[in-house]
Formats: sequence, structure tokens, C-alpha cells
Amino acid sequence: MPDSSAIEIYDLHKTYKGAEEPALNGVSLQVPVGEIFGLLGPNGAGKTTTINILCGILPPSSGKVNIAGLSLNADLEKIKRIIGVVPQDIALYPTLTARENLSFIASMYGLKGKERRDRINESLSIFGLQRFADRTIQTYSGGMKRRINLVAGIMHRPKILFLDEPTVGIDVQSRSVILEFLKTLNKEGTTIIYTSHYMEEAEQLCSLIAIIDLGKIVIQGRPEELIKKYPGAGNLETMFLQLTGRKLRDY
Amino acid sequence: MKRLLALIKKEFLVLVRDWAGLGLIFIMPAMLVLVMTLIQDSSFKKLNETSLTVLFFDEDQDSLGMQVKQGFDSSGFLKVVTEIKGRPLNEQLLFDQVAKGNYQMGVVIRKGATDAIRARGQKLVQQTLNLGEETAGDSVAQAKIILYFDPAIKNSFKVTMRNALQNFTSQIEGGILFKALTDELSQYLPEPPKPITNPGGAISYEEIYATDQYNEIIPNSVQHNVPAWTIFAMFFIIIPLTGNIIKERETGLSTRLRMMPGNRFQALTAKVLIYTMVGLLQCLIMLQFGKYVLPLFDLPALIFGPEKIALGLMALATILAATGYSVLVGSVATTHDQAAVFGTVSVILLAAIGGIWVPVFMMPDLMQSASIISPLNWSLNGFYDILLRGGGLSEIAWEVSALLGFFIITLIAAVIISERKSST
Repeated sequence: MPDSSAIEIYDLHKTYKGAEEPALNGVSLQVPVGEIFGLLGPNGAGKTTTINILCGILPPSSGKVNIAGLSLNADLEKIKRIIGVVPQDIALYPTLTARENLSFIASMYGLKGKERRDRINESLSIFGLQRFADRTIQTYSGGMKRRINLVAGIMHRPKILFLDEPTVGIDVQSRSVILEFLKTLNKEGTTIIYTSHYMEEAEQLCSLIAIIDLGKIVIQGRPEELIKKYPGAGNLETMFLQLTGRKLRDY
Repeated sequence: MKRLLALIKKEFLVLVRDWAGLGLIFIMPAMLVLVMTLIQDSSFKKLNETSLTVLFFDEDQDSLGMQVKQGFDSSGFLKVVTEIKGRPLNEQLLFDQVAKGNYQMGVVIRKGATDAIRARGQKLVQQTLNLGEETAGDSVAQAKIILYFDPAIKNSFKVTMRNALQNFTSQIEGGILFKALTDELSQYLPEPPKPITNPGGAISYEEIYATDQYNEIIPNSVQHNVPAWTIFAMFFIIIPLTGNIIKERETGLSTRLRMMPGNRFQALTAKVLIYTMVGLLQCLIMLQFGKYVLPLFDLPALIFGPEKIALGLMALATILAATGYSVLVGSVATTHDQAAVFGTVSVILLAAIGGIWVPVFMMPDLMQSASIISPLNWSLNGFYDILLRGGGLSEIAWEVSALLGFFIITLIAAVIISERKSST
């Protein structure tokens, strides 16, 4: 087991109760420290299931997961302290202000006093939200909500950050700020695990990708190398369609 | 501990930001206690403390009719109506008015009623003094008083009115019989006897509540209703608490909480603590409302009695049971609508079974047996032990234990169900 791996997944299986087909069917992955890893796939491919298992909120049916060298089964509480999660939903209390939400989350990670206050102010200013800090989340626009949702996931400076479609449904400006911030965060040493439907965005951002479909990893590697493997693809989106097909994936 | 404090602070902020919800938690129960106590106050008052309007038609036009009317007029609790819009009553008009629901009750003294009582008196004297032989055809007609009731009235009201009227007319009947006896005897004695007067009842009644503990407490509508509706309101914490749980689940907040350090038990403890505080505050406000506000509405003031610690413990056990039940319903329900409908209906059913609306002793045997399954019944019994029977800690030990047991079982069940739901 190499020490430089942020994530190691071995033969991961997950079948939901009552489901006929497995959501994950033998997924194996390794994400080295310091990468921006894109987990891409159509709807229902198993992206969110994988992220939820890696974050410790969903038990796998079988398989082994190590995060930063720690076993997910045995060291979940330690793992929770070193990972950050930005879920797909705006998982913040709508009637609390941004500052109150962030203060609560920071306290849960053990931040206190001046350190907590400084961290909140710093994070808010990076995302241009400082002057809205004392407004309730329910008064925020969609883009502001996405940004504050991201801030909530990085308050404790995680070593590994999971983002489940962080830019879905937002304006161009907000998306640009978020992507730039993720690049900066990565340069500072944070490993980023990211899921998205936006292939162009993934191509720009990710240093490593895996395409998952029907619960299996179809392909993984560096985006530019993978595109070269598929003559005529030209870009990630075309390659993605070649691999996963054009059939609609409603589930 | 710091995480628990952070969770408690968060729950507090979420709660106080919902002004409308808070208003409902504190204002609606107070309104409920006021309205229900005012409505039920009359059933706790003696009959002569209430006022009823009665249609009265005296076809008899003799002593019985006149004395009944005089008695009604002087009773202070019956207002007698003998004409409507200037038109004197007759039996048909009286019947029509009651049938339409314009009046709840009508009394008709049938013609010859007084003569029937007199004849009965004469017959009794003759039988007593062995004057004349009794024959098979010697039966005496009965005085007839017809009572018309609105079909919409409750049977209990009908029985109460009939008993009151019977009690009242028996005195008049007694007077007429004594008069007949005096008249009859005067025919057979050499000198006319002195008039016999009705000596009144030979039996007197003294009401003593069977409690040897705190004699200051007088059972009345306030002592009964304030604890009953306070318990009912405390269990209605189910609406905001299940709403809180389901909202966290629907918005992904519960998932975020599970991704953060700390465990589910801490998050649940914070909720239970905050909502327990709310419930205790609610109970305190309701009891103070009973003591200071209800008297402003001409109702008796609530008397707490000397067992304040027992009262506090009973309130704590009740709100814990209500909170545990709410957390369980919030864990089982998948939508707001499910939780709101099931929560509301189940609390109403448990309240009905538990004797909040109708005392358990008045229920059919089956429902009396069923009442023991309702935590509202355990709580009500405990409150009654303190507020009506003057009991203390030892008297409420069973009820408190049952409520705390219910709290622990529901909370464990909620945790198990939540874990199962999130791991599938």
C-alpha cells in the first residue's frame, strides 16, 4: 500500500436494499496525494454512491477502502477530521446566517475562538461573501448558496476534499470563482475528489479522471493521455459519449 | 462536550428563528386551555350556578302548575318563558319551538295534575286509617308533567334536568299531600287538627373529597382541565420536532452532520435537550396561565399544592416521553405530510384513549382497558395525583417510571430505525 495514496479502493461493491442491480460492481481506484481527481459518469452510474461510501455515510456491501492510509472501517472518526465534503445539496440551515452556519460547522471540527472567527472571515472574503455574512442563507442567490456550501466544506482545511457536482446550476462568475479556488487549494496540497456532468470543466480542472458507468470503472488515467487513446475523440466529452453511449440514463 | 454545545446552540438558533412556530408552541396551548376550561367549567359547577331558559305551559292552572312556575322563577338557575312574541304558549307551539332547536327544553303541566296529587293524598289517608274497602278499580291517576327536549341535546343534560325537576317537584308533591292529609283528617277527628307542614328532608348530605393530604385543593374545572390540556399541548411538540428532523433529512443537513466528527447520539441529544426545555417552558407558562390568567375569566385559580418538586418531575417525564415519541415518528416518516398527519392524529387518539377529553371512568370497559397504553394517561394520572389528590413523589413514582421508560424505548427505536434507513 503506497504511502502517497490519498484514496485506495479495492473491489468495492454496493447493492441498495430492494434494488435488482448493484450500484457499484467491483470498483477499484487509487488516487495519489495532491491530485484533482474527477469521477465522471452519466446519471445513476454510481458517482454519488462512491462519494458517500468514501465519506463514511454509506456502508459498502463489500470491498476495502483506505483514506490517507487509514481504514474506513476502523478509523472513521479520524478520517472525518481530515476530509471535507461539499455535497450536491445546499446542506446549510436556511434560517441561520452564513456566519452562524459556518461557526457551527467550524465548532464541530474543533475550531474555537479567534481561530474560528479568522477562518470564517478569510473563507467568506475568498468567495466575495463577507458583506453578506450576517444574512440568512434563505436570502442568498443560487450562486451564493453554492459558494457558501463550498466554504462550509473547507472551513477546517481538509487534506482531502470531496465535491459532488459543486458547480451545478450556477452562474458563470460563481463557477469561475469556485474552479479557481479549487486549483489554488490543490496547489496548497489538498487532494480533490470531484464529480461532475460538465466534461469541459473536468477537462480543465482535473489532473486525473475515471469514468464510471453501471457501477464499474470504464477507464481511468490522465485526461490528455486518455483522449489521445481514442482517435477522433478530440475532447473529453466526445470520449465520454463513445464510452458510455448516447442512450438516456434516467433511473 | 464542545460539539454537543455547538449542536445545542445550533438547535436553539433554528428554533428561535421560527417565530411563527414558536408562537404556535406557546400561544395556541394557552388558548386551548382557556377555551376548554371555559366550556367545561359549567359541567363542574352545581346546577344552580348555571342559567337555563325553559318554555313553560301550565295547562293545569292549579296548585302544582303555579308552584312549579314559582319554584322555577325563584330557583335562580331557570329562566321561565311562557309566551313567545306576545303569543301565550300552548303545547303545540312549545313543541314546535323545541323541535326547531330554538329552546332546549319545554315543560308542560297537564290538566288535572294537581287533582291527581290530591286524590292520591286522600287515597293514602284512607288506606292508612282503614277507611273504606280497597277494590281492584281504585287506582288513582298520576299527575303528568311532560318534558320536551331538543333532539340535539346530550343525554347527560336530559338526565340532569329530569333529576333536578323530579327533586324539585317532589317537594311540591309533598306539600300538596300534607295539605290533603290535613284536610282528610279534619273530617274524621272531633276537632280539626293543626295544619301539618312539610318537615323537610330527614337526610342531609356532606361532600368530602377522599384525600387526606392537601385539603386546600378543590376539584374544579381548572384543576382538571389545565393539566389535561397542558399534557395534550406538550405532546404536540411532535409537529415542530418532526418538522425539524425531516427538514434536516430533506435538505441534506443530516447527511452533512454524519460526515462531520461526532456521532448521531450527540445530534439527537441536542434536539432532545432543546425541545425538552421548550416543553418545560410551555408547561410552566400553562400552569402560570391557570394560576393568574384564568381567574380573569371568572374561573378558579389553579392551585399547585405543596409538591412542587413532584410537579416539576411529572412535567419533565411528560415532555421527555413526548420528545421521544416525536423523534421516533420523525425517524419513521419520510415526508412532512406523513409526519404531520400521523403525528397529529396519533396524539389526538392517545389523548382520547388517555382520558384527556372524557374521563376514563366514563368510558366503556374496552376503552378503559385500552387507556393504559396511552402515555398521556400515565401523565394525566400523575398530574391528578399531585393537583387533585395532593400526592407527592411516592404517589407519582409509577407514572414517572413509565414515562421515562417510554422515552428511552422510543429513542432507542428511533436511533435503530435511522441507522437502518441510512445504511441501506
